[in-house]
Amino acid sequence: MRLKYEFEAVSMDDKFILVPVGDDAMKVNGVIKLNGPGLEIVDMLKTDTSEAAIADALAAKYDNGRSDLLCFVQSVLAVLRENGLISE
Amino acid sequence: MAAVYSFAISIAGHVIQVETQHFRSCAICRHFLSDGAADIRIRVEQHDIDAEREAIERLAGYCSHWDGSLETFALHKRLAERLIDEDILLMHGAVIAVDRQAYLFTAPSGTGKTTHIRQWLDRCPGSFVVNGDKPFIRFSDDGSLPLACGSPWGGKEGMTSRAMIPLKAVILMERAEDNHISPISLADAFPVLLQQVYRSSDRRKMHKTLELLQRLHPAVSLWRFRCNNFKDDCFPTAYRALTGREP
Repeated sequence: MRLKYEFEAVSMDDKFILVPVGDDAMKVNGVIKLNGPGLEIVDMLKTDTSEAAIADALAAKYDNGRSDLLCFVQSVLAVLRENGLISE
Repeated sequence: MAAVYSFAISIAGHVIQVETQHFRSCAICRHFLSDGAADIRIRVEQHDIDAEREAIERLAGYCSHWDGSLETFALHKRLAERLIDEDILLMHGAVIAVDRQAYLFTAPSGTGKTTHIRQWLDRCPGSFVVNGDKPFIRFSDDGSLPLACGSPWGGKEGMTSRAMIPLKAVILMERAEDNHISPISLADAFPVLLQQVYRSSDRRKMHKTLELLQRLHPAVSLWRFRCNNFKDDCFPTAYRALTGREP
């Protein structure tokens, strides 16, 4: 799976706002707000990847348990899927 | 068809030489005509008009506009695109000027922006509309002060002026049962601002647009206004919060 569209992340307060850019930007309604690890997930989705691969990458960086990280990955992916931003 | 109308307009501190094929574009720019030396040139071609028609057909399934009308849309877009390079944004909204300070009310069409600013016009002596639909926002020469500027696109009522007035506040309007206004953070305002600003499909220009939006705050205060134009406290609620004075 990977992102369907291109985004630019705007840093604001302690959040990142994901703004669609490029030719297909108008196909995306609204913006997505993420925290830092959420943005890392989006960055990984710029190339083909999987839930497990993303959770592994986060586990190598953060001390949280892998199952917690997998839940977090799934929650971010659910938001992205709901908004039609991922191609499987 | 070759361009047959050539005229200069003064917008947001720039003189723009415009070439068009239809008189309608010249007509809607009539309040902005200038005899100054142009620093920007824009030529609207048939392919720009065709692109507008195709965009409308994609959205609505048909297009009932004639080429002259489509050309004004294309000119508007070309101007917005070009002026991003000069650090100038095009925002959807209605701007009222009171005591040399501008207040930009932004919201989706039909929310009541025009109805609301009419209350300001009626109750604030000396107030005037900078623009009723698509004002430009530029920064002062030292870059510190955002200025609201008129444009030829003044909405259905054609409310516009050539003024450039320091922008004091941007107000995100929502229809509500009761009137309530409160300050909001840039992070909370950003999704709405992004919907209301002209967005280029060019990545570089879009990046610039995002930078400019972030530069607005804190020089410009940001507000969420839950608004019922039909209640008596609508204008006083907004006026008191935005100006700090009693109406």
